[in-house]
Amino acid sequence: MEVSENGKSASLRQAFGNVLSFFILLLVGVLAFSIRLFSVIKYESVIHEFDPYFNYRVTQYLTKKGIYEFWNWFDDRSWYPLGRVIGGTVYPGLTLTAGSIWWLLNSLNVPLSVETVCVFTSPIFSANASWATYLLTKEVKGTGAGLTAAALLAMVPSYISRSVAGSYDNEAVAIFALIFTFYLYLKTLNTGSLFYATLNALSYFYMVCSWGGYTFIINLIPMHVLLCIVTGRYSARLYIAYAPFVVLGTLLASLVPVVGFNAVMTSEHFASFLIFIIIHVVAFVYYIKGLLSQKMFNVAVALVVSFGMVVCCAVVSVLVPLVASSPTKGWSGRSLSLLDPTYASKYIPIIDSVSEHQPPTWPSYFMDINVLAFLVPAGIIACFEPLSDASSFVVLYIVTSVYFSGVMVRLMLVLAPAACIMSGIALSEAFNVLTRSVKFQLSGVPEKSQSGDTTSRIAVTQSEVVKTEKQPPIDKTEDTIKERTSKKNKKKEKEHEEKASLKSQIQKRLLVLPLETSIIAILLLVLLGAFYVVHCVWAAAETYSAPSIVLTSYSDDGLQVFDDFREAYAWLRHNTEVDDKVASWWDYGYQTTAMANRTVIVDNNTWNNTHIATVGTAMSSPEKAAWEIFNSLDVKYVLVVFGGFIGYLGDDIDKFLWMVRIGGGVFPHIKESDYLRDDEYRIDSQAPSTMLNCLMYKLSYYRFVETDGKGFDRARETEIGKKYFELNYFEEVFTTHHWMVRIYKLKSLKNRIRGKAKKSKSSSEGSVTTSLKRSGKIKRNPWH
Amino acid sequence: MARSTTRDAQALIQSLRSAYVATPTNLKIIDLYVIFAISTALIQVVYMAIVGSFPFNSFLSGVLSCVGTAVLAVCLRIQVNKENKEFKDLPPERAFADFVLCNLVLHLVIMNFIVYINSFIFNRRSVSDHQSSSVSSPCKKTIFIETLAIPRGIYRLSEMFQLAA
Repeated sequence: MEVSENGKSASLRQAFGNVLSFFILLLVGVLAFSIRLFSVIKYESVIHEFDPYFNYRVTQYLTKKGIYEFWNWFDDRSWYPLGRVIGGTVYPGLTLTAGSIWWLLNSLNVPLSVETVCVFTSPIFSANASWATYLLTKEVKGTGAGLTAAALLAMVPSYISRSVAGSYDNEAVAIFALIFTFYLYLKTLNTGSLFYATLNALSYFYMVCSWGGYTFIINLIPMHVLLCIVTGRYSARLYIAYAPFVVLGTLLASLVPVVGFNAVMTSEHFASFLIFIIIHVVAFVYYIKGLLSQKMFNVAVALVVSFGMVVCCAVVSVLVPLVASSPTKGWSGRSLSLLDPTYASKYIPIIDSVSEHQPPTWPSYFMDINVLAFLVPAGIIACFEPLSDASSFVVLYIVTSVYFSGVMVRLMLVLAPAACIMSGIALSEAFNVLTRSVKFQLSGVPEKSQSGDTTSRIAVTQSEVVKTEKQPPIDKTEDTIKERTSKKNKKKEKEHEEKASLKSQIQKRLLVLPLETSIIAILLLVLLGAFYVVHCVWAAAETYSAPSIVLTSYSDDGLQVFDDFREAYAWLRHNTEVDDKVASWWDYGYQTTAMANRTVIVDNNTWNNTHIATVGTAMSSPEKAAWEIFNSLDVKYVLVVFGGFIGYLGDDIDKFLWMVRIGGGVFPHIKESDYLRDDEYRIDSQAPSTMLNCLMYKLSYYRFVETDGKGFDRARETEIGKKYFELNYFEEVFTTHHWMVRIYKLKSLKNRIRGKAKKSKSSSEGSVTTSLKRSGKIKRNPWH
Repeated sequence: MARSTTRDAQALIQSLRSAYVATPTNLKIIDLYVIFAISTALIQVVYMAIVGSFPFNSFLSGVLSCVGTAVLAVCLRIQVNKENKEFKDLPPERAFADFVLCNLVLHLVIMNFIVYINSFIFNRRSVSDHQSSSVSSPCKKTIFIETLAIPRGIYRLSEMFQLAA
């Protein structure tokens, strides 16, 4: 009678707990969605930055032309005259996701435009990501930790920075795919079901479609399998979790055109194949061990080891020269720059020049993950009591992601989910202890245990030994044990029964804290959470919501809005021919093709270093040489971003040294030292003449002296060196309202050349070698 | 020294054989299927070594399909084996249903990948031009092995599984 009553109240409380969890998760999803809407409220529903414009353009193409045209799309409006195969070089996950959402909504007669769907894809998928974090942490530690981790991930600033409404980039979808794949892997590991292994492989396929960071998954999971094998935790579930994943995952990864055969040929995937072989060897060894007696097994080991050594040496001697024959040992440039952080600065200046690829500063850790930074170590300790396969995986995840986030600021994004999981576990365990103390102190009377159920820990006060009874899941006490027993995998219950029967003999002692201490501690933890929330909302509202295509500043007159970029692109769109080519630095390529709809020479994809170096050389050369380079590329207009009038840092003059470096990397006649005075980069009167005569200087500061009479550059805070000069080969066609974007047109060749007619004509028509001999210069300039 | 090792080896093989005879029949059928799949994979590798690796996607999908069904059959064997304490409560029908589902996904991917149009990265011609040219003779051989042997193997396996269980 008493048992049935207790059972009924327990199931009632469990049902109540489930409903509460559901509503909490709903609220977490709404929170994740709405915290990312600051940019839409403060500015407008517009696509941000640079890369999202390319994704937006691709999605537009997909929705207009259909999927077959998308797969076979060859884009001739970028990288003129080379073009770019979009179907084969883009990660299609994001565009296919947004395209299918748009198609679904339109088939239901909800007429949302493609731009709206693109802008709001990120917040929707961050809500999905926080739900996936809940599922993942539930596999590791239980429901309470799961809910905390989901709430933390909904708000963590480093994830917000890459997934605000309008930041339509790969990471928006990829982080969701990453967490979901890890969740399915842990689920397979815990249950041993082949069904979840299939789902795991399919989720990995979605991740490969979405982001180049999928190599993190295909290296982390094998690392974890190796860790389990080495620490003696090999089990049949591990084999089921890993082996089908590798085979199916490799096949699915090869299906994506971007990856193709790289899935079996690059070093990033070799770890998975190596561990695949190792796990088969280990499985076979365990199988034979089960078949034979101990003596026979030793004989077998002796025989196999001596024979296997020979085979091993043969295989290694074949593989090593094969791998060593490639100069990068099979790794791609970007992966190599992760393993060796100095690699990019020595060999590939383009990778080095991207601001996202720089190492982060210490304050950026506090800015991006705030309070979680010191909850993570507590979470790591909590994962060790008890250490299961799932918690060892999460520990490995946090350790590797901390290392990679230290190499590149962009990878702080991969650290964010791991930090949230760890902090969720830490906070949940802390609340466990504190609320149990409160409840125990308040109840006062020792409670009798249920008959026959020894799955319990034993709490000790000053004088008496008490057995705690089975408590409902919302109390979060032994929810780890209960959550698993309440599910269908009975083998876990058996494992815990075996462990608990040992424990009841050892009589583990737990301290219960005094009432006042625990209440104050609970209040302090809640205060900590409040600080975290305040910081996250501030970060989302003030720092990470800028669309960077529209700038604002607060002055004495109030709010000033600088919409110069869109002004310039609109001018290009309406005042030039459709087939005109526009040359600019590669930062603005995506925006130009998307908004101005004109062909560009180089864009943000940066796949062809020589082409970018050509543009860089043109920008660093004197006017005539630059004109010739641009004319050879059929360029009609040159676009330059200039921030000296309003004090906008990060314009082309600030980036100019990168143009020189990249250009100089391919064309040796451009030397960085020519543009520096005493190793200092300046544009005032002390600048060397190469600097004052180069195209970038002239196009930026043409007629600049007319603004204030002195030519004071507000971004560099000096007066410019050369103030009065004329342009002979370019003419200015448009300058935006705040002088931020300046567009110049190439002047066509004169009809009549007076005087030195034959000599100049023959020199410009001559081949490279004859002009070299005639010019007599030591440095070979291919355009003279 | 050599005689003792050969005697040891003989004793080892004897004990292995006697222990293996004791396994139930349905497990032995699964083992036979695994050996069949691995040997098909080896035949394909040897064929590629002789004939050359173009088209690479056909070779890759053929070998990986054989290895994949072998791995899945091993997983099935693990889940069905009555000596495994961890899977005591898993009904064998559920294990077989998971096995079939995973094989379905695997073979769907294989069928897609075996005639994969990988050359559009380097070429601007349309899709239809390439479809005929890449189905060359090594590819046809792989498709032959693939379409006949493996599904038939699965079908036979399921029949015998029901008989022996």
